[in-house]
Amino acid sequence: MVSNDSDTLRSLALENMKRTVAFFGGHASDGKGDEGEDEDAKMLKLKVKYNLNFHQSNVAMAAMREHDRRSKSRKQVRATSGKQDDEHPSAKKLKTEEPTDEEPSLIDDKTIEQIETASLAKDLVAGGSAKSSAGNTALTVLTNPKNFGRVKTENPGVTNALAIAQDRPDWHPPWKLYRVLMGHLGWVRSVAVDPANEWFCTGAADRTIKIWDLASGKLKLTLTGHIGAVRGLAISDRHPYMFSAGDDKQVKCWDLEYNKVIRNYHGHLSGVYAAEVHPSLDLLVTGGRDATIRVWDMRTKAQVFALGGHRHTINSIQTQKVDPQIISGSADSMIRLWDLAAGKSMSTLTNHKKGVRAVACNPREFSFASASADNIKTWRLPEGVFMRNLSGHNVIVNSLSVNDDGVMVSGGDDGTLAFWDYQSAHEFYRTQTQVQPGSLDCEAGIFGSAFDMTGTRLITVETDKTVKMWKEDNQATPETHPLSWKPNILPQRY
Amino acid sequence: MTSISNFLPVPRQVEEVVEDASDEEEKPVAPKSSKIPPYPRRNQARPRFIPRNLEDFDDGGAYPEIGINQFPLDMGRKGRGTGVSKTVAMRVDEEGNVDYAAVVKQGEKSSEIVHSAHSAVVEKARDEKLLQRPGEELEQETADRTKSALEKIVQGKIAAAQPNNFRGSGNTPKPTYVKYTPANGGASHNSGSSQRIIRMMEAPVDPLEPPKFHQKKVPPAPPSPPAPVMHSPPRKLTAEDNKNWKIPPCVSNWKNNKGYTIPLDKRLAADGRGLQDLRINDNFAKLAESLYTAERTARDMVEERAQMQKHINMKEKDKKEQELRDLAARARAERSGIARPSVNPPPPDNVTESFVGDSPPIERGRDHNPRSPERDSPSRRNRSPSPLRGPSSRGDRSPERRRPSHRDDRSPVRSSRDDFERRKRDEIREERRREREREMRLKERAGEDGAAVKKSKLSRDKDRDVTERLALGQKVAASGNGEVMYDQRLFNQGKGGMDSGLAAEDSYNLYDKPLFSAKGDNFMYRPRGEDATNTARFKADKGFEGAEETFASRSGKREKPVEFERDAETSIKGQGTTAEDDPFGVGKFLSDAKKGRSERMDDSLSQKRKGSMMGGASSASALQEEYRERGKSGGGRTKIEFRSGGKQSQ
Repeated sequence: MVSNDSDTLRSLALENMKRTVAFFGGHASDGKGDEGEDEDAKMLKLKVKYNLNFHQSNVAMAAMREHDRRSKSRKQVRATSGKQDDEHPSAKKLKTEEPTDEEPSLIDDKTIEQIETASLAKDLVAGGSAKSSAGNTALTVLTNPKNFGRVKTENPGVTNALAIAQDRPDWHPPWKLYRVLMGHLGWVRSVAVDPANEWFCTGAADRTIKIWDLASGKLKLTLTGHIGAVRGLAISDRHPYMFSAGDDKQVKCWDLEYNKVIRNYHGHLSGVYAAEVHPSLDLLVTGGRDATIRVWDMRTKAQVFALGGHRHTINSIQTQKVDPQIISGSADSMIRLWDLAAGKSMSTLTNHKKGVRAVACNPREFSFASASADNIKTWRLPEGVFMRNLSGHNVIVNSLSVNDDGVMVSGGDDGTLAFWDYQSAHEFYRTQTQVQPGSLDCEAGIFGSAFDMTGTRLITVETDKTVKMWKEDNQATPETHPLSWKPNILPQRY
Repeated sequence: MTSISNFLPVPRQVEEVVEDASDEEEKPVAPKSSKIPPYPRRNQARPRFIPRNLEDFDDGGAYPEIGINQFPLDMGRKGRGTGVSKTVAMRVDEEGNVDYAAVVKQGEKSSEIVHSAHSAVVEKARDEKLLQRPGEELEQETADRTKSALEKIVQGKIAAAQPNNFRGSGNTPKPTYVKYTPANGGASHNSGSSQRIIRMMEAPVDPLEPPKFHQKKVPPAPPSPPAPVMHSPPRKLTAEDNKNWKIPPCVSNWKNNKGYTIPLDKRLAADGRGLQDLRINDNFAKLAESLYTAERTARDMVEERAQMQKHINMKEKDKKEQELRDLAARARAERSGIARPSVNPPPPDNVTESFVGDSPPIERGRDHNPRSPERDSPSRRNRSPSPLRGPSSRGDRSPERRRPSHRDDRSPVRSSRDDFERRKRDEIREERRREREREMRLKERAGEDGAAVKKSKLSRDKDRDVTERLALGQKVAASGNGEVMYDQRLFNQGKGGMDSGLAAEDSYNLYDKPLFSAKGDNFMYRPRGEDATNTARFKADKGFEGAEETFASRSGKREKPVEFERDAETSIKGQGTTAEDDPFGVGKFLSDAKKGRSERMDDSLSQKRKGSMMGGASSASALQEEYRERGKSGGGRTKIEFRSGGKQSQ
């Protein structure tokens, strides 16, 4: 009986073991080879390999070459992030010394190993909690800035991607609507805030400019004079002047002490879509449908420059104290940086694929952002080096504003407002504006936005003829609105 | 042998010396022939001789008989040895990588920043150092530099508008003088003089002249070399995209200017009416149904009520009729039955009287049938002589005729007596008729005589004029023979026409006479009532100033025109100047000034002016006097005391 029992027990145990093996074969049979390997891991490996070969073959080639050279000269490998990237130009036209059949092997297993680790790290970062010890170490290795230089990567693209993933976004509270101002009788197309932060003005398709009290939201004044939609507004912080530009080809200078038009800047051949005041000189910069940026001497009304070069409507203009003093975004999908002293283009940025409708300078750092229907991009000044790509707001983006806290708002043509952390290119909040009663759903659309001088209030002007004001949600905390951040660590080009 | 190349590392880039592309295309097409064909047969040479290279010319000049561009000694050939090369010098950076941006940074773009490397399309990690905003001094420096550059431009642009830049005001270049000696001198040339001096200066320009040329659209900058495009080519449209962008053509139910044939289903689809399914609220049906039922019930009720009312009315009527019938029977019985009053008790008197005066009960009485619609039909009425037919018929009613009652008719016993009575009645009727006829004849005879006998209505109406007929509202029958009828009173009214002697054609005498001349002047606007004619209250109660004497009695009428008295002062003045001599009072003014004291305001005058209007003036003059007195006595200047004029005068 006893032996019988033991036999049955053994057979049962064996059966169980078999089942376990069958269930968890991949993990149980560690040294058994290919059958045990995780399918996902294999797929990932393949994918990464392919991706690297496809996107980064040139870079990888350069890296390989460099690696060889280094091994020969026994130099110490430098692994700094941004600079290294600049060191490697595209090697498209370079004649390869190596035979072509070696190219696939350029991406060695080591690199893939690293990428695997990185992707694991990515998953972990996204998940927010470490599950395996290996991943944990990888995470600590990756996320510790001190260790960063020591992570050995031969592939500069990967290095760069990992370095970019270091930019952890700051937590920002979501924004909420707190006031709707009705009064305009047409699409509200432009907004500008008083430098003293007491009022703001909006220009609309009803040919009026309305001045509202910023604190109370009361309508203070309505200015008439344009005979077309008011598309651009600018307020000077060194003069009591406000400038307005409209579809009627007119650019007007309003004296805010008398609330009257005192000057007209005559010269645009078509609608004027943007107007900006130079921050340090008495210059007014306007641009519009005639594809020309015109620089006006404020006092004499003389046209200093007509900067030609864009091939299509100029949608937005920014001015700065230092070169490039003018940044223009155009419907020909280019951004141009202008050398004002010479009166010619400094650089042309052609990374956007669709027309650039909005350009916004960062008040804190020397960079700007540009919005197009495909992507939002940030650029480092003064050269206009492409920095980050903010993807996700897949509508026609009409407006872009950045405040001091590094919050960027992009307003879409379908009424969506996306709030971004400027530095890390992370979209932390998205909301949809509500149309005022009596409007159609299709009348939700943001035409312009502006932060007030403190950066705590956002003003948007919209298709439903209203002006809306937004502020940060005071009740929100990092606990109630946790950050969901997934850095893209795969090297990618835009 | 040690050379410097031994020390240098092996070059990484093996540079291929790329031949200039232009060189290649300029190589002779024909196989190079070292032999130049001799002179007369250069064109006939086979293969054809084309001089392209230097040696083809053999140190000589071009061959004029060969018709192609020739450059002996490379003379006139462009792009060779002049420094303009199509080859860009290769540049490398510090790492030895080729800078391919040099290709797109040629010419005008040499100063531009061109992003052409792969790094321009990849994201970069953040570098705080590079992102720092530039400092104050850089801002200041930029501002200064830009300002000075732009000021120059602005000054140039606004120079014309500034007056100090106006030509001829000093800062224009001075005229230059050129002495000119014509080559062919002579008396006929140059007015005979041997030299002339030419003064050269810039022609003045009107500073206010509007610009001669319109502002034109600035043409785009030359696109070569274009900025490198740093984005991927646009994606090919997928079928889905295509479908999404498919916008159906406008199909209108009202317009089809081009006359396309549009299938019916497209029309319906474009209409959009059938596309959305209508969902009607159930309550609509409920409402309709309840409205219908409510209406039905209401109608039923109304009908019922009407029926009821009708019923009641009929009953009432029957009752009344019965009553009347009873009354009639009673009356008949009373009338005929003096003999037998006992048959019916006599009704109250008033009922009888009203009945006799009003309606004839005879027929009704005679009728036994219950009330029926035919009863009132005209045919029946015509058969029986109705007492209502004519005004005279009431008078014709004979007592005999009334007498028979239906009771009598009913009784066959008295038929013989009835016959007798009927005959008698008929006789009477006949007699009456004859009498009427005679009367009529008499009347007609009298009308023919034209005596005072009144015309019959018919003849009277025949004789009426159109106007009268219109006034009476009678029908104006157009005369059958097409004759136009005129109002005779319109004839022979004025003096126009033939009897007036035909005034001249151009005389305009339409309104030369007053419209209502015949009726007198004041028939039109006559004030109503007695009070209106009394104009006493409109009399002036105040006369003209200075005319009181003549306006002695207020109520009385003025006998003569108002006379104004001349200002007393002028008459008083014994200066010899009268008002006639000095109408503007200049002499008076001068004399006043001489005297230093006015005597204008003497008592006589001030007394004379009693009017309230003069009150202020007199008081003012009094003040003046007072002031003068003070000035005399005190000698010094004192403050004028202004008091109210009214007090002063009282």
